[in-house]
Amino acid sequence: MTEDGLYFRFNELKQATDVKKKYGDEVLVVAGGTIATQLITRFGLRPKVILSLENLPLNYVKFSKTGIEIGATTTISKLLTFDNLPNALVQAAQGVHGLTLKEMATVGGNIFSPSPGGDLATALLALNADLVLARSGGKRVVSLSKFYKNFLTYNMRKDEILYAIKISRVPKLSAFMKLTPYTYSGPTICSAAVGMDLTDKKITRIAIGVGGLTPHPYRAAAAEKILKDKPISDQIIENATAKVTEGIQIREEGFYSVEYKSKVAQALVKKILYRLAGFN
Amino acid sequence: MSSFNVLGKPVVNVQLYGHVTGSTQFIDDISFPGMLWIKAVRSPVPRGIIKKLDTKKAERLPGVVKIVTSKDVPNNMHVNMAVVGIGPPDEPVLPDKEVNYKGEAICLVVARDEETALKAIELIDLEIEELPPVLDMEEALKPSSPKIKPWNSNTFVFGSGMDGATPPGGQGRPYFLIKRGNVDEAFNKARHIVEGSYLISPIEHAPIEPHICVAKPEPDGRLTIYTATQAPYFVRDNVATILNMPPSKIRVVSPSVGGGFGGKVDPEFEMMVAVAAMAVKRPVKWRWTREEEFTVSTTRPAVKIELQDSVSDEGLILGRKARLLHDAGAYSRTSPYGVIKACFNLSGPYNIPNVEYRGYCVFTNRQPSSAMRGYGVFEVSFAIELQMDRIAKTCGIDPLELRFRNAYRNNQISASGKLIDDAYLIETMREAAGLAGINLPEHLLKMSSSG
Amino acid sequence: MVKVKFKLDGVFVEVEAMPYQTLFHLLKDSLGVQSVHFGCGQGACGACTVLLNGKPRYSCLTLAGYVDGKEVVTLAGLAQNGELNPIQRAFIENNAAQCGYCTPGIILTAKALLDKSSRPSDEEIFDALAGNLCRCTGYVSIVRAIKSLVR
Repeated sequence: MTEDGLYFRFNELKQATDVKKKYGDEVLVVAGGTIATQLITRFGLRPKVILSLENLPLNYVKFSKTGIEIGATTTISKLLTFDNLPNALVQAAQGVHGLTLKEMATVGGNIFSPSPGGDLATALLALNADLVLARSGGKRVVSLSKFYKNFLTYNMRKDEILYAIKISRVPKLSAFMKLTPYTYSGPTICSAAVGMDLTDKKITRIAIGVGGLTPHPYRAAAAEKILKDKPISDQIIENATAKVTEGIQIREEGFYSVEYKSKVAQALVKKILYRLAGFN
Repeated sequence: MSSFNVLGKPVVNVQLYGHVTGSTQFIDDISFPGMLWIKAVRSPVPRGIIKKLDTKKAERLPGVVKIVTSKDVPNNMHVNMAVVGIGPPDEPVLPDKEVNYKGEAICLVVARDEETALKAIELIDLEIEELPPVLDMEEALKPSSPKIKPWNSNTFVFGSGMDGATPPGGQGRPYFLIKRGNVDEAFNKARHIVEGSYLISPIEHAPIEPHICVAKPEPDGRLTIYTATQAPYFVRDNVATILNMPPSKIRVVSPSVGGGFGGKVDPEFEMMVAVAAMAVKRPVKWRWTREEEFTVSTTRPAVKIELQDSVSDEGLILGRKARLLHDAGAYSRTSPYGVIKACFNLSGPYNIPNVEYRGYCVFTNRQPSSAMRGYGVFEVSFAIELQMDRIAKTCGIDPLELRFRNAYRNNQISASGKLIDDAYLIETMREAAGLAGINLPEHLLKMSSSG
Repeated sequence: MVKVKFKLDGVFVEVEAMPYQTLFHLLKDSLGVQSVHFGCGQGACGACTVLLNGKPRYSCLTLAGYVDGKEVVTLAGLAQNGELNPIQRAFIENNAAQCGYCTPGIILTAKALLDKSSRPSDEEIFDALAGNLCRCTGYVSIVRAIKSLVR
């Protein structure tokens, strides 16, 4: 065994969590490898341990009375073979460009991907998804809306790995849209997703996810507040849209201005709300 | 035609079989026993003076064979176009003191593998005193700007015999000049004066294959350079001059090129690989990353074209003044040639009897630019065609008709003084209109290039 | 070092990969595979594509240890008993390559697509190829070649 670059590939969860417990921060967890490998090849990371999740039984999608459970290493391709997934999630998965990327990238990996990645995370925020984190001692559940602290910094312990994503109550209506430079390729400029329940034209449930503006996607809480428990109307959508980027520090990334991205986010949310309300 | 075996018959591209079976050989497939790898230490700033370059720690790293600096270059001058009379050469192979663009290679680490070379780079102590850079062409032309060329200006000197186009002993100017007729008189007669300013951004060639090169010293003292290049003779002649070797001792082998588009015409780095190979007496290879392709390799230049046209009642261009700024980046390379070519195209295929064109080859502290698809023609065509539409709008004349009226006819004289005897624009436009389903009015269909 | 044992184009291979070595470097620099090409190292251009257990993968974003116990197919492994695969023939007939650098990645991705769905729509073809960039052809001849195989 060499000093660095120990490569582990386990069949059982316990073996993986034990290694994470032992080496903590020195572990690079690899699922599909689309981001993790670049940390090594382009950003000079030389982790002591590489923990590959490929053989763990986390490549599944389960439907039950308690909702939908998606294993962390489920590939985008595999996800798209299932019917009855919420629209927002399917649209986000379809938006991953290229057959190869769909076969390599995992739902779990997408949660950790910083902008311009993380399309599925945007959709999952709008679906009020929870993350199941596993460690040697057991599992705990964290709401995705409370998972992101900062760039590549998560509400996660050193000895935990992402086990599964749960959508407990699927909203009746949901949709995801994003803007990319080209129809079939290019990084996400901005993405948005809405999960909504309408009861007698009243918005009884609302969650809005926005991606591409901040290091990781966020919940547009200010906009949600305007919509919650109100009857749906042109005006209320207008008012809510204006608040989509309120209180958000949009990062400057050199290609598209902060102002432009803000407008795109508003436009996407508005479009989705109109579509879900049947206002077209 | 049917009696021929090849003429008039479709022919399959002989390379396709290799491409679809993966047996086409590209430069990255070339490898030799004992081959070493190169990685460069690059300038982090657009302009500065190297104050300290301490490579001792890096040299001691196991696997590092040599750190190649300017001291290892026999004749430290990148001669690119000097071999065809354009100069003076203004670019070192590896800089002694001055760096002039962000990403300029300062020294080369030659090591057992890329990983070791990258580790060695981290151990190199580089200190650069930053100088104020010139990053914009208009800024570069201001008298107050810092001057980045040793002849104390930011422009190439045309006209005195060092530009490949004019005879020696002429008057040197900071621009290439084409002058014909009397523009001032033409402007006095103008019915309309139409102005336009056109900007073309630099474009990166982005071939899928990055720059890759292998240099191998041969036992008999010769050097073989394997490189994906569009111009093997440029490579050979440059390397020969830089190594003080006769060209007959340098062999350049170019396998299939994975896309060039003009980006592999300038020998950008083959000289460095050759110097490294001769310094360590072993085969060496350099494989550029995509990041290096975008930030260091040449691009199509940024060009600014300002046109001022004197136009008659009938929309005929009586005279044109043009100011063309071509961003050469930090070093000349092929830019002077590009400027000359662009200037000769400023009239386009149109008859403009009075012209005054000034083309500036401007130096800025940006990555050097070079040829790309239609060098000197693409950017000019963009500008002059938009200008034609602008003229048409100003005069209230149909844009197509305007071009018919202004097209060169035979026996007219071009801006460069050439007698036109093969004009065909009118006929071409007629045929194209026919194919595109555009019905041209009778009087245009009656026009011809012969009168 | 990581011991890697896998099947490469029908032949069993056992090698020791350097720590942190990617599959691309293992194939190209250690095993001399010609038909994987370095284009970007970022999973954007697709020139390094291989088939791993039948599924397309960017070898530049795959760590060497990942292929242990698996089967890797490169473009060279596509022809069967000296006979060109129908996709390869379609590319020749439709002049679907110029410099040829992107071709291995594109053909393998096309194979994966056609293995998955024998009648892909135009949209499905465009989407599948979105991860393969070509700077020479403008894609028209490539799509035509693939469509010619859609029954």
